[in-house]
Amino acid sequence: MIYLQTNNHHDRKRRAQIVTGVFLIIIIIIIALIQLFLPHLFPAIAMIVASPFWRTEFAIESGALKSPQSLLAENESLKLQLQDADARLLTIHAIEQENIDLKAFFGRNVNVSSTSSDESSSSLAYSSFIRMVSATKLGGRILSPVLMGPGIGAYDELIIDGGSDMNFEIGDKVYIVGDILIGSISDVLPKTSKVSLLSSPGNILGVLVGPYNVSATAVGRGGGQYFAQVPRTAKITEGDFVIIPSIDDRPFGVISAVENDPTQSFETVLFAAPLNPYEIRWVFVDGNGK
Amino acid sequence: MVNRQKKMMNRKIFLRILLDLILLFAVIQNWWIIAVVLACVNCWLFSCNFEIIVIGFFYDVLFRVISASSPVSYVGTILSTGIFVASNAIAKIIRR
Repeated sequence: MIYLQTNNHHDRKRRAQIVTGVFLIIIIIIIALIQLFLPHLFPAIAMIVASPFWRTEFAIESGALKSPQSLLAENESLKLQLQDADARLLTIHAIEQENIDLKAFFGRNVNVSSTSSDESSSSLAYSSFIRMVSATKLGGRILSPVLMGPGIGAYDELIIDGGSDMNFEIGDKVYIVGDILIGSISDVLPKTSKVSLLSSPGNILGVLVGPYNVSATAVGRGGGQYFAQVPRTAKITEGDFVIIPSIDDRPFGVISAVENDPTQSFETVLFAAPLNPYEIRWVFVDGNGK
Repeated sequence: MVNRQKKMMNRKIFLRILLDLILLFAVIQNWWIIAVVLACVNCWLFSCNFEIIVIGFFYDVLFRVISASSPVSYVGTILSTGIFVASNAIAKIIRR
């Protein structure tokens, strides 16, 4: 009698386990089918949950909770910075003009965008930043706030405000202040987009390194960091610029370290984008630059 | 005695919901190391913590690139399932 009871209990337990297992398998199949046929459904729902947190955080970081007094003080400080930036801008203008003249001398026509003069100083002060924003709109780029940076997450990407509602498309190039390319849009959701960074681990990119423009292949390490191997004879030092081969030579990165092994003929250079991706708060999306 | 048990149960449920909300917030903020630690704690304190797997899946759908369909793009789900299975197995052995 006791044995029979034990068996019944055992059977019931086993049946419950089977029912739970079947139920779980059905749920997994349903989720897999939704992921397969409606891949944007779950991300869109997740964004609805998460984006209010990010937008609130962004607003607080932008000074939404600051007192009028502190905003006025900040405004004054920024005005001073703007004056300083304007003074530096004159020097940059002169160097840019010299660069254009030199390229013209060697038979290269350079189309100078209306934004180029403003961009150099824009990172220094909010007022000049606004000038740049209005200027870049003329170039067909759309300013978009960064809701979530790469952080310490497993995925090296940015989440920006604006998606299909802003006519963003997969493959649109994304720039930061200073016309520096940082990545491209990899996913477009109704009101947000995901930007894959060029520095994503394993991403390969052709670059020119150092004052002698040594050609190298940069490999992304995540978080805006890259590494490349160059011949030891290239004499690369910390602080040298890295550029992407094009006629419009803007710095793409700055060498942060050089790992030198005397037994090897190549040395490894580590470089990062001039602006830390963890600090990026605004980006420009170029719909025409695919 | 029954009242006391009920109170304990309510407190446990409250703590579980609170920990889940903190975990969800950590995931939304992309603090994934904190999220992993919290998930381990959560799984250790409470049995059958299936919401860990749901939160892991939530992390993936929030941050992964949809066009990338490799298993690496489900790192959250895989990790949370691993934590769930491992912590339940360890807890079963220890509490036997």
